[in-house]
Amino acid sequence: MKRLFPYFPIISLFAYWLYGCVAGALVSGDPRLLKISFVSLPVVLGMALGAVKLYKTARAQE
Amino acid sequence: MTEDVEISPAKKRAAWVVGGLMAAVIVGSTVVHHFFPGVFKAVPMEGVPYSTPVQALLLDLIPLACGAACFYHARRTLGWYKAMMFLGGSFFFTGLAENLWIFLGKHPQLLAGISGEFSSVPGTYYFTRGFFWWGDMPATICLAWFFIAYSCVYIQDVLLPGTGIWRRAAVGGLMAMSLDLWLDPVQVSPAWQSWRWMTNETVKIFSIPLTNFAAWFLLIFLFAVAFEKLPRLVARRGVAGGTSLFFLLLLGFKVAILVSFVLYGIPAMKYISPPVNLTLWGL
Repeated sequence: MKRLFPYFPIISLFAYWLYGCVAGALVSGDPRLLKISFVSLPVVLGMALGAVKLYKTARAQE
Repeated sequence: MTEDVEISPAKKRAAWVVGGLMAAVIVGSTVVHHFFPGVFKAVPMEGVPYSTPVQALLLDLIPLACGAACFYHARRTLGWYKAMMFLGGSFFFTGLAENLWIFLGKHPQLLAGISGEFSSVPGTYYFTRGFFWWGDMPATICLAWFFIAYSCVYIQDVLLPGTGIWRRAAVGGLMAMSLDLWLDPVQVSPAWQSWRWMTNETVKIFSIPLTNFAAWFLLIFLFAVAFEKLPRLVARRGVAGGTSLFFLLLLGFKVAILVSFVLYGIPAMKYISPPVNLTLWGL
């Protein structure tokens, strides 16, 4: 839990993205909504880069 | 983000005042919305999926959990006062902005009174389902604004430490806007209908008004800038004065967004004809 703590904001945003966007598009049954998923690449990239940087910082401190 | 474990009685008092106001607004709005729907001209839920109170409550649990995780993180890293200012600031900043747009949409004659170009506007938008409410919008939408703003500000601080606030705030705003570029078309689809757009704005992306995406960027961008200024405001004016100025600054930003959208809307309604809808695959 302590190791996960720095990731809480990223996990929250990722969970909401999964729920509001990914699951929402899948449940809708409209394939066009999945096709436009690329528009959220910047936020996915931001979350991924943030998580990687936090991981590297934590490893460097160990 | 710095750690601020010590909290003065003045900061504790300010945090409790903001928390108390939020609780009062949510309790009052929720009671009015469910038991006196005529007050907000609440739209009947026929045809809206997952709109029973139990389903709405279950769907609310997801953003509630995300908001709780972010508030816990803020409480531990920023301290009680700044965590409450982030929550309360984003709650009132975005809540007042959205409630104002919804109110204008339900009273389009007010928009027509601003300019004749708006006389054909049938409305703006409104939310459908929700268990907890803040005015005429689901409280979890406000909570979502909180944790989206908090997460974006946190990520921008992780990725760009030591960079100026304007650049970091812009990155946060762009991340939030990119989230909504997919979120909005999904949530207004017939399978969800979480909110409904009524506006006849002349420029749209995926059938969603351009001003919506501009608002997503501006709300996160300006909130990040205001929050960065909070410690300086408190240092100069004391806790009560600094906290009041922080909320006044947010109010000023809100007015500026409203004025800029009106100034954009008047020529856009007049000169952009036929309306432009930037679509892909017909969305």
